[in-house]
Amino acid sequence: MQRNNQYTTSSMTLVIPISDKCYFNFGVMSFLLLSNFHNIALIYLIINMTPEKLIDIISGNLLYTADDSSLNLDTVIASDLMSDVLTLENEPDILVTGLANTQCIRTAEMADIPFVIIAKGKKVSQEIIDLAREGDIYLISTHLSIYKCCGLLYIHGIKDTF
Amino acid sequence: MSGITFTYKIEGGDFANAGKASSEIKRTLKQLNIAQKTIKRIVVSLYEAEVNIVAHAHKGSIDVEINSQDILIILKDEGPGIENIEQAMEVGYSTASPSVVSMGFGAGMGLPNMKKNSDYLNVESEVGIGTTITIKVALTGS
Repeated sequence: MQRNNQYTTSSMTLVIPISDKCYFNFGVMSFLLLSNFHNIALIYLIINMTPEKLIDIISGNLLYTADDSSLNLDTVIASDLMSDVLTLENEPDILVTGLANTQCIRTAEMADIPFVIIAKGKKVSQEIIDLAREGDIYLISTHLSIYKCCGLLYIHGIKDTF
Repeated sequence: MSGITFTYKIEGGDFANAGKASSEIKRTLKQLNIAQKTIKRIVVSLYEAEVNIVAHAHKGSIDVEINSQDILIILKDEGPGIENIEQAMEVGYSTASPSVVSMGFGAGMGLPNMKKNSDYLNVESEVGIGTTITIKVALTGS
């Protein structure tokens, strides 16, 4: 008898809130259903995404720590175009950019974004770090590309703002 | 009766200090307990306009007047001016140089974003002389 292998892919994320800062995220990233294999499900437990946890996830280099230790990171915008960031109606918690100049910090300051990640291993000048201190904005650098950085944020439950 | 007033001088091409005036105004508005959403609208408009002076003009000035009802911002520059204001108000129209683009701007979104975030916007320009932008935003408490 000929075998009839079923092959189905689907994508699903189930988030169950426990409190406003604590929730389970059952992220079933890619279900591969083959007749001879068990289902594979990825389950992520996320409790309050802190700056420390996020820095660890992206192998980040902490360049400035802001005073707000209770910061909960939930949403992100990724852009090299600061004008795009300035048109957002909502305030994302994180800006991921490949733009390593003072304007990324100024833009974060104007758009009320408390956490900036400069990706692609770009050199971050002391001038940028000083401006982050002045505006009390977390500043992180990472060697990851914007694509990889955002991918890691995505699978750890950080939501898009755009 | 006039309220609190500030004046800032802006140098064309000085990207290191672009946004300094906007940053200072933001701090003042926070101290005055203006609502966060209102502060964001004001500083986004102001910052876009400030960057425009740095990006396009030789020099300029920003005059800010804060009353109990609203904030009035007048940005005056000496520069190339805008040939077609109507066109400049369209999203995506830009005359920015590559160096401005490398700073994360120059995508033709500045003036439309200023309009979106202000209650009143007026643009007057004379080619070869300069541009004056007037922004008004009503103030609301936190």
